[in-house]
Amino acid sequence: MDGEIGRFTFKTYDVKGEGQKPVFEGIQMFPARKGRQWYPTCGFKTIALIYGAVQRSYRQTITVLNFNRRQEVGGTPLNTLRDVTETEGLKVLDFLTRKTDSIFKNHGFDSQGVPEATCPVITDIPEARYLEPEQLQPALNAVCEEMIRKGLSAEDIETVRQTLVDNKVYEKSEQCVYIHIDDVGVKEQKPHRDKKNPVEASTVQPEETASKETIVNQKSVTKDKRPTVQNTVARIEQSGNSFTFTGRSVAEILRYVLAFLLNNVLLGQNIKVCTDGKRSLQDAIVNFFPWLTKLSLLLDWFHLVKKFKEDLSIACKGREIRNRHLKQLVTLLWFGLVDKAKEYLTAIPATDIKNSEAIDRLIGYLERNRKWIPCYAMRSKLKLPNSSNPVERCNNLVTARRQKHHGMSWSKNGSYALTALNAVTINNATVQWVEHRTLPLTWVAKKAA
Amino acid sequence: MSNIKVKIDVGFSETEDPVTENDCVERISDGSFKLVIGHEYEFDIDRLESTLLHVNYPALRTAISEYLEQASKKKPANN
Repeated sequence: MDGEIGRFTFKTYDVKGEGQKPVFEGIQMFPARKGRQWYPTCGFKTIALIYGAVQRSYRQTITVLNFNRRQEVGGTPLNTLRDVTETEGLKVLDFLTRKTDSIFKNHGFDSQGVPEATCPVITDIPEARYLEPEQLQPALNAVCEEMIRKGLSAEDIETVRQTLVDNKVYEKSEQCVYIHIDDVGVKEQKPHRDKKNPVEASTVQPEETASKETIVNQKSVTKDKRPTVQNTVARIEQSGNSFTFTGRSVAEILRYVLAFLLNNVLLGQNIKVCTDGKRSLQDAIVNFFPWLTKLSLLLDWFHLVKKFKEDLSIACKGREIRNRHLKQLVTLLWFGLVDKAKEYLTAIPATDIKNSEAIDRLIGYLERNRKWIPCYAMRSKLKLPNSSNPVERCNNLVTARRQKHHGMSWSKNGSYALTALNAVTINNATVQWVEHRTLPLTWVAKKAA
Repeated sequence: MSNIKVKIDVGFSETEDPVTENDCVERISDGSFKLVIGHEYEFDIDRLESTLLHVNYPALRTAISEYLEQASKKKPANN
């Protein structure tokens, strides 16, 4: 066994009957092991995995662990720790998959999360509830004042006012579940080391310029082709409670999210999904929940501005021109004036533009995301979320902090496993998982400061 | 079926035994473990702490290993 107190073996006794035939084998009393498999105790898993390998490198973890157990010789090998961590993390994902299947079955959904014809949950979903016009009025006045301060025309102000009055889209935050979904990629490990490159790199090039070009080209090719392991992370929040899921794909994460909503009877609430504008992610969400009319997407403000910054840099001649146009466009978009922003983009003088394709891209981007671009100013005044920041923070906690920027690359299973184990910690489910092999799919209350 | 008692007896005492070489923990006839350090460490808190932990872990491992070994032997009688 491999435990908190160290790694050691013990003998077991068998009882043999007539003809040396065993009638009882002592090993039957203990958890079944295959071959030379060691039994990792709960204490070992907590210290070596949850508070060890999940937080810092395998090498650091194993050094500290074996030192603390006074087993610098004969302690747990590094490869064993890595294998145990991977197995444990994948067991978390397997558990979530099984739990999801069971929840779907109990609520009348098929294994893909599609409601069956007789699904009772779907028929009971109440109408969406939004803030009433009188509740919106103070915020609306504040938005109009802000628009006047920013020099927008009376026509624009009237457009925004009319849109806000006509479209009931501002949810009551206490009756809304916010789901933030994002991908986080880490460098994928190559199956084998490339032995050719060091030889090529050490070869002396006769011409210095040729050598430089080769290196630059090699770098760009490597960068473009570098494969990544994509972890998908979902953060579900409501009134200070939260839950974090990690998974191997968007489809898997959406199944977990639906299972959570069903398990906590949340389909009666408004559901707002905050994303970064990635087309495949948006399409996957919309296609997964076609029956849930109360679900709407929100394009994250930070990513909207980022997209405009990047594409205007490509489109405009020089920083000053880019910044001038960016300022105007960001102001229009802050108030949800998508048509005005499109008109503005079309009207940018040709003398300011070096790449018109980038402008076309931005127009297409606005058109594609029109439905998910609200009046951010209004949401801000109503203290409703405008950003997918919670999932960005989670990405850092569950994946990036351990797996990015350390010069390391990862196998698919290694990356998924560490991410899944990190999520167990974030969901305060360490004890339930390690000791009882279960994860409660229920809200995690915010810790008191 | 009997309950299980966990018993531990940890302590420091003066001895005339020679200092243990290479900090190798020894097992003595009564089943306990010992490690002898020099008298110059009498007030060395760090050394006392590390010695205690050094003896502690092999003792814990042996205790649980022997217990499980004996438990596997006992089982048929209980069936």
